[in-house]
Amino acid sequence: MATGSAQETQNFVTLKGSVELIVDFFNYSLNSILYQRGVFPEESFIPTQHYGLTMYMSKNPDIKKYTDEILPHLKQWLTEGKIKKLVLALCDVNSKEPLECWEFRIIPEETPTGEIKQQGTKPLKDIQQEIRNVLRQITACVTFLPLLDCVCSFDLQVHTTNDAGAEGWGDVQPISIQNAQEVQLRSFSTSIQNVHTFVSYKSV
Amino acid sequence: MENSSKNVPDDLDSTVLRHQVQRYFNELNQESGSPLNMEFLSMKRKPASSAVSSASLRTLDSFLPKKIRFDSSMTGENSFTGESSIFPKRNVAESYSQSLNKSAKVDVAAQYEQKLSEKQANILELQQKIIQTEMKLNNVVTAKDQLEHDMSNLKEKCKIKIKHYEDKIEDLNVEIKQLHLRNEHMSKENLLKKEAVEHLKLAFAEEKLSCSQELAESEQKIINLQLGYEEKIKELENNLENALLKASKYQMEAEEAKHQLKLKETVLSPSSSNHLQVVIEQQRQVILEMENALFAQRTTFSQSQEAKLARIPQLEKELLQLQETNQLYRETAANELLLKEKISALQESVQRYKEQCQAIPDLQGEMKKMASHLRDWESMANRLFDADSLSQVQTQTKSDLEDRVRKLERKLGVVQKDRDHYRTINEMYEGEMTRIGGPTAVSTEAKQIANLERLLEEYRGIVSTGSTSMTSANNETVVKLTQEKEQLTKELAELSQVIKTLKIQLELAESKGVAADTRVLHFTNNPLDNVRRKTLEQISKLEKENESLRERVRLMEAGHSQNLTLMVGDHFEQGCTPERLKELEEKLKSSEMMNQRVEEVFRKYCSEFRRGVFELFGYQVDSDDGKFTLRSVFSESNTDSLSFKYVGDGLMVMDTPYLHTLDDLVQLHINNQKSIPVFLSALTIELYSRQSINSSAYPSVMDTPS
Repeated sequence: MATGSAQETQNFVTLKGSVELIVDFFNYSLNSILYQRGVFPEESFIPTQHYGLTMYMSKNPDIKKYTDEILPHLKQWLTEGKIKKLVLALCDVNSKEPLECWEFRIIPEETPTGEIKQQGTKPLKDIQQEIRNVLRQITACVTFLPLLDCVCSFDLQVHTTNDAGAEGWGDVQPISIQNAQEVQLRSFSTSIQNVHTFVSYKSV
Repeated sequence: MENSSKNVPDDLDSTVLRHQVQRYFNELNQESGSPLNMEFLSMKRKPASSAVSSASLRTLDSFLPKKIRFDSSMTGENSFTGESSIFPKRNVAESYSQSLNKSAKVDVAAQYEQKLSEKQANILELQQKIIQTEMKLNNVVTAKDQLEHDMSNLKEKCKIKIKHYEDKIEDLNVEIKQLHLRNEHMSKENLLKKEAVEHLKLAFAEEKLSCSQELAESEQKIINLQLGYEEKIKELENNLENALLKASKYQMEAEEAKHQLKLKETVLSPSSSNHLQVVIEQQRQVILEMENALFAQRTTFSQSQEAKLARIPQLEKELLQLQETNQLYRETAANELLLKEKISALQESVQRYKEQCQAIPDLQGEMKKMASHLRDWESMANRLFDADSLSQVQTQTKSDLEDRVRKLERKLGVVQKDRDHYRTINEMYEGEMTRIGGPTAVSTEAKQIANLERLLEEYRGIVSTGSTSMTSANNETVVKLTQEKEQLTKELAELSQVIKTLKIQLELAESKGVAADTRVLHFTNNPLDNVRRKTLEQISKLEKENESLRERVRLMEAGHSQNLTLMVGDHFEQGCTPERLKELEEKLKSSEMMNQRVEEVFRKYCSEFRRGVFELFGYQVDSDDGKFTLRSVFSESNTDSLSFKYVGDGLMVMDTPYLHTLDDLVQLHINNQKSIPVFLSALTIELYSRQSINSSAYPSVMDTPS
């Protein structure tokens, strides 16, 4: 998390810095969602300060292990520009039914050559401000999302290009929610990549 | 307002003007040394209009000596203000003084005087103009005041009018509202009245019904009363008759009593006459009493009867009236029926007459047609039968025929002329031909003609073949093209279908959210799957525990109190769990089913085999634990059977009663030849020969009588 500060000395971010920011954001938003939606008990979260907000991070060893395993892969794929979408699916454990789906669509900034930009043009403060807004909004989503009153767990699905793959990763059917209502949250841009956040939930 | 806004610049302009003029004169005074008329500057004046002031400024400028302007241009200042104009003046004056000082002072003075006078004139003119402008200004101001005053008056008037109109509008609104209310009231009243009218109508109808009902009831009452009266009359008459009868009876009894008395008197007069007399007197008294009673009865009866009889005429009158009314009613009823019948009859007749009337115009038309036809025919007939007309007709036909003949003759003449013409042409040509050349020319020409004709025919042939070939080629190309077209259309249809399916697939894929070039990955060791796995494991573990506990409980209930865990373990090892039981049961069922099937198949095979053997070899073979009993198909009785048995390695024939009858065969085939098949086949032949009426194909080996 603090590795991103190495880039903060410069005013603008590079691709690597953008990737770090996005992955950090994803980690915090994942933990925040798990806390807010009550997937895991509140006692298993500890509040930490980041982005100027109080973010709840899980101290569950399983979750920590999982995130430690997947984040490096995500960083690598993001750097290569292979990730199109990160989907966090909250499912009922017993009925295996997907109840909620948080999508983070990653769209790289268009360049004339078609390759990924290496140097950004946006000051770090602005990016962080935008990220803060998105995280606040995620917290505020609790007001309208339906209650998850069954035992839930989560799974992360990565929509990548066909040439992505690594050990420990397998193909899976993309989740689809019946009678879904989709809400678009704020987006933020690092001037190299744009991240759009969506939440789909089952409308009763 | 505008004037006030103008006043400020007017003031400014006037002060500027004043200052300029003052300075101008000061300069002049300084230079010329003669006092000028400055009185006009001290006068209080009203502010001049900006236009006037600007105009005056402009005039000032224009009236300033032109040299000043020239000098101003010289000096480089082109400003419009009076100040700048004054400075050049000074310069001019200075230059003038310096230049002409030495040489001609007198001229200068004269010039100065001239200039002064001119300037004075100018000033006077300006004064006049100022005064004029001030006058105008005053006029304008007064006019302005007046206008303002008028405006204010008009405003007030307008306001008053507006108020008036507003009041009027309010009044009208109020009136409108009142009218609306009235309208509503009236409508409501209208509705109420309508309802009342309807109620009244209903009541009237009801009353009508009730009146008619009452009428019917009263009529019925009358009839009943009539009947009642008649009955009463009859009763009274009966009573009267009875009473009369009774009276007559009493009279008769009275007379009889009298007679008896008289008799008794005559018979018993001398003796016990007193007694008898007393008795007679008693009886006489009784008789008298009876007579009195009778008389009283009669009188009362007669009185009542009289009263009743007095009523009779009235009743008779009423009866007559009622009878008359009844008759009237009956007649009216009859009349009604009659009238109805008449009406129906009349309606029918009216309809018939209408139909007839409708048919009249058609008939008239026909009549007219007929009349015209008739006239024609008459005319024709007249013409025919008239001698003159006949001759006229003849002449007409003749004339027609003659015309035709003439036309034909003309045609004929024309045709003849043409023929002659062509003949002459022909002769001419022939003449020319003979003249031009001899047979050679003719021949060349004929040759040319022949050549041309040949060419013509050739071309015709070519054209026809070409056309046919063209047509054939065309047909072929057409056929090819149509085939190609069909192929292409088929391909098109197929491709379009493929496109459709692909589009559908694409839509499906898109709807699923996955494009063709995307891969969806997830970490295999993800929490969701882990949790699921754990829950499943937990569930299975719990189930196992549950089973073991159940078994434990069962054993405990059964009485085993020691080594329960071991026994539970054994139980599970044995696999007597219900699941195992179910599995075993299922296996059992399946195996039983298999067995059954196998049995069926075996039985079927066996029976078919035995049947085949019987039909092929002629022996019904029954096997019983290694013992074979054979019955021939040609055997004479069912009990005839041969028996064989396996003894050691070989098959031995057993003794049966039937065997004894076949000793010779047995001797030959079994004992000597030691062959059972030969024996059996010989036996078959023997039996067959016995059975068949005709002589068998194979003569029997043994001619033994059976």
